Amino acid sequence: MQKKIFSLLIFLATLLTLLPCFAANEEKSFKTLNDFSGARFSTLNGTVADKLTQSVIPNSDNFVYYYTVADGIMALKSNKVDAFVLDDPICRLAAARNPEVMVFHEPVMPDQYGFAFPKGSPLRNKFNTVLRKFSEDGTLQNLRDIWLGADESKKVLLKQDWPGKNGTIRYYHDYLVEPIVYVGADGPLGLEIDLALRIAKELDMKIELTKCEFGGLIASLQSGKADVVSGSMSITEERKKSVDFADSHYKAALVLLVRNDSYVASNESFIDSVKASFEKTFIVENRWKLIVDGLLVTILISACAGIGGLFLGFLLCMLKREGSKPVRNFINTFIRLLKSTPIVVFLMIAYYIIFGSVNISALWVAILAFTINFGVYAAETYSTGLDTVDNGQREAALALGYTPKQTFWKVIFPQAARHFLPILKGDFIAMVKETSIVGYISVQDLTMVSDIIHSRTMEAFFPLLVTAMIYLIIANMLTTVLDIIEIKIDPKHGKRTVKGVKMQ
Amino acid sequence: MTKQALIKISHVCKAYPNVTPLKDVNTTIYKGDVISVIGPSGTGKSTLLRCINMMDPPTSGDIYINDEAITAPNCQLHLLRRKMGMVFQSFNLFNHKTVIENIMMAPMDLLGKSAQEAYDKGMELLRTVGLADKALNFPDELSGGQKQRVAIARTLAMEPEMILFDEPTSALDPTKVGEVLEVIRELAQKGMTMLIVTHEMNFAKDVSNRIFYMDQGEIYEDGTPEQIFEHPQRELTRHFIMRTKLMEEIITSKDFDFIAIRNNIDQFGKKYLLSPKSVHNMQVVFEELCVQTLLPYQGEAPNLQFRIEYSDKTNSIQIRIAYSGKAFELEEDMDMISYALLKNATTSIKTALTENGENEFILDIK
Ligand SMILES: Nc1ncnc2c1ncn2[C@@H]1O[C@H](COP(=O)(O)OP(=O)(O)O)[C@@H](O)[C@H]1O
Ligand SMILES: [Mg+2]
Repeated sequence: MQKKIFSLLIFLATLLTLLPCFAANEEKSFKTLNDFSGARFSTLNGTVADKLTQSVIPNSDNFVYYYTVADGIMALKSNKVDAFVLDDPICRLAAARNPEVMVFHEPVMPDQYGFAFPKGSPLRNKFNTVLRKFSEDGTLQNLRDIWLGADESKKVLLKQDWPGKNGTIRYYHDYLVEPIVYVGADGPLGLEIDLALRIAKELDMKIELTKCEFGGLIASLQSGKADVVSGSMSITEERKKSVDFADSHYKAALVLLVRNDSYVASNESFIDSVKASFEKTFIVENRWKLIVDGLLVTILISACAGIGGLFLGFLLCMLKREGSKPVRNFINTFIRLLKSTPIVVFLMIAYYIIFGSVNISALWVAILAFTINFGVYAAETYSTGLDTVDNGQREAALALGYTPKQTFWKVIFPQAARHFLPILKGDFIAMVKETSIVGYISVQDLTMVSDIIHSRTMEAFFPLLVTAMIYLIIANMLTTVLDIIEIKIDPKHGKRTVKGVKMQ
Repeated sequence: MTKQALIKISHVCKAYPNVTPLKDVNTTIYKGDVISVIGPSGTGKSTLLRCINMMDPPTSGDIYINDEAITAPNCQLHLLRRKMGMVFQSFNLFNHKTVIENIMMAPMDLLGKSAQEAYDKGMELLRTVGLADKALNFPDELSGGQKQRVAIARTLAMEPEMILFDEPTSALDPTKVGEVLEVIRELAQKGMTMLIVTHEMNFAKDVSNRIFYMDQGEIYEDGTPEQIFEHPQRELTRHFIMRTKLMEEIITSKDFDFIAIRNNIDQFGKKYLLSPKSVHNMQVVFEELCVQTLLPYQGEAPNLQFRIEYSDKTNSIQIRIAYSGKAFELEEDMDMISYALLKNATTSIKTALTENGENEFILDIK
């Protein structure tokens, strides 16, 4: 087992080092915005940057989309794209940290961010009143100076020490866009979060923070999970059709992040750069603690869904085989429906629609969704295993005088187990890997932590490698248990003898 | 001494959606009976066995085991089944258990025997079927004959009052049939009550005290081996025992297709490799007796059944001609020359009545 993990590690490392080389491409030089006509662009998933760019730069429809800024910068560095279209505060921070990239001098177009609310929400006007006041008394300008500045020590949030007599605001925010909304050593940080806290204080309301993928923000408003959302969200006509925006609190611009042609790689040794990168990924801000927390969440979901799914699957399988005709039809339809729904979609439906108006933690929804998902696969697997046991085995046991129930447990199930256990193992590993999507409903699992870290460090290598390794270990640990059971129930395993008997 | 009835079967009918293999089965099986069930395939032999232990419940009718109705809805099926072992064509040993565990399992789980008791009894049974050295092998490590002997030992471990065998040797290599039949033969000698579906006719003749010939959805003929194999009373039994090949023509018009029937007789002869002389003789019987004699005798509305029966087993050919109306006296009313030809073509000519009361000639062909 150890060997397996080690060789996989080597393989991954080699792959990550070599990848950029394959992507190398001949260089073009860009002097004005129009030079980018026909270039390769990228932006973040779920933003409108692509449409805005196309309205300014001719022939700019060659776009690829990334989930995080860090991924986009990786792609830019490795010459997979020519320009990363992004909001200006993010670009400036990225350029400051990565000498290999820079902000292109001509902006694409001005842009503005706003808090978004459900249609017709009365909270919007309250926000606007406070925002106007903050704009006049200079609070807003002050906050911008702090969060866009280099002095990290000033970047702290208000403590919620006001009474909050007027209720609680449920606030969902993106978490991968430094310095607007991101995650620091002790939790969420960023300009918009600080601003939201100060507005809540003015309104004498408590505020409850929830991290959420940008792509899930509008859904959480519409399902009633959130009262307000933000995440450097541009105010656009299209979004206004589904949500209401407060007045803009930040005048930004859409800019291009491009490769810095004058950058010369420093001759820092490989070992040193690995060391520095390791430091950034694990040590700074005690990030390893985040990893441990995420790991626990992933293990919790996998273990609960694994065990729950085994039981649910057995129940479904029995109903499917022994139930009355309407029950069988219902179960079959249920199984087919769930098997043909991508698990991401099922998870979002469960969280935003089925439990949309129920106050239940996202973690429980994730456990439930994966239990059902695994249960459905396990049901089919059990069924396949039971089918492999010849009907003659059942008849022989019945003819000896076993009851149908005894026949099932003594004769059929043990033989079926030898067939379904190996398949269950595969189903289980697939399920563990799929838990990596729970970030969509704001559960902070291992993958989400890895995203958070790599969005801060702009380093993909360690977070991804460690995440991959941890998944490998979790999956292997749990399948080892199944392996042992499999060997235990193999009738030909071990010494041939009759237990509890003096042999002749 | 009166015989003790073990199983009573009364008006049992079993219907599947497309076929009704058992229409009306009635019989009583006594303690100590060794009954071989024979008959063509698809005549419900397996179905009868499976009805008796309720593996397939009958559609209607009742079956009593020691006067207890196994067909009653409230019956403790699993308890009654313990009295009747069943041995299957496909052995059905439990693949996940060793040979000895296969035998020990049921007595321990169902009769509450200790492991040691079950083991000792199991080893004793294995010795009687000659497989004590295979105790720790798994079923897939045995030959077919060995598997079947273990299956019989497993059944015996439950100490049943009777055993149902469904073609116990049909799945075996011909060289392995003997070892299994030997075990069954020994059981018969010890007085075990058994119902054995089999195609091994010599074995059936030797070992049983009764034979059921199954056909037409019923126990068509029930008798001693002597009766069934030497003097079958009913027609289908006789055909089955003699392994008869049939050809039948029914003539209901004076203008029937004479050429076609002559041709059919030739084809029949070719198909079963009959000698040209026999074929010629069959043609003579058809020509002289049917066409020249009986047809004119029957007048305007003839009704004649002409049937050739060729027994594969005895290599003999019989022609049966049934006809409606009054009996015809060959010696008196037949044309002299025709009669002479007829005599020449046959070894014997008999008259009889068919099952539905028509006159019939039975001629053995030379
Ligand atoms: N489970 C079943 N469903 C439908 N038809 C069946 C079933 N079992 C047996 N039959 C039919 O019943 C008839 C008798 O079968 P069986 O008792 O197995 O015959 P035998 O053992 O004499 O060869 C056959 O025509 C067979 O196709
Ligand atoms: Mg059969």
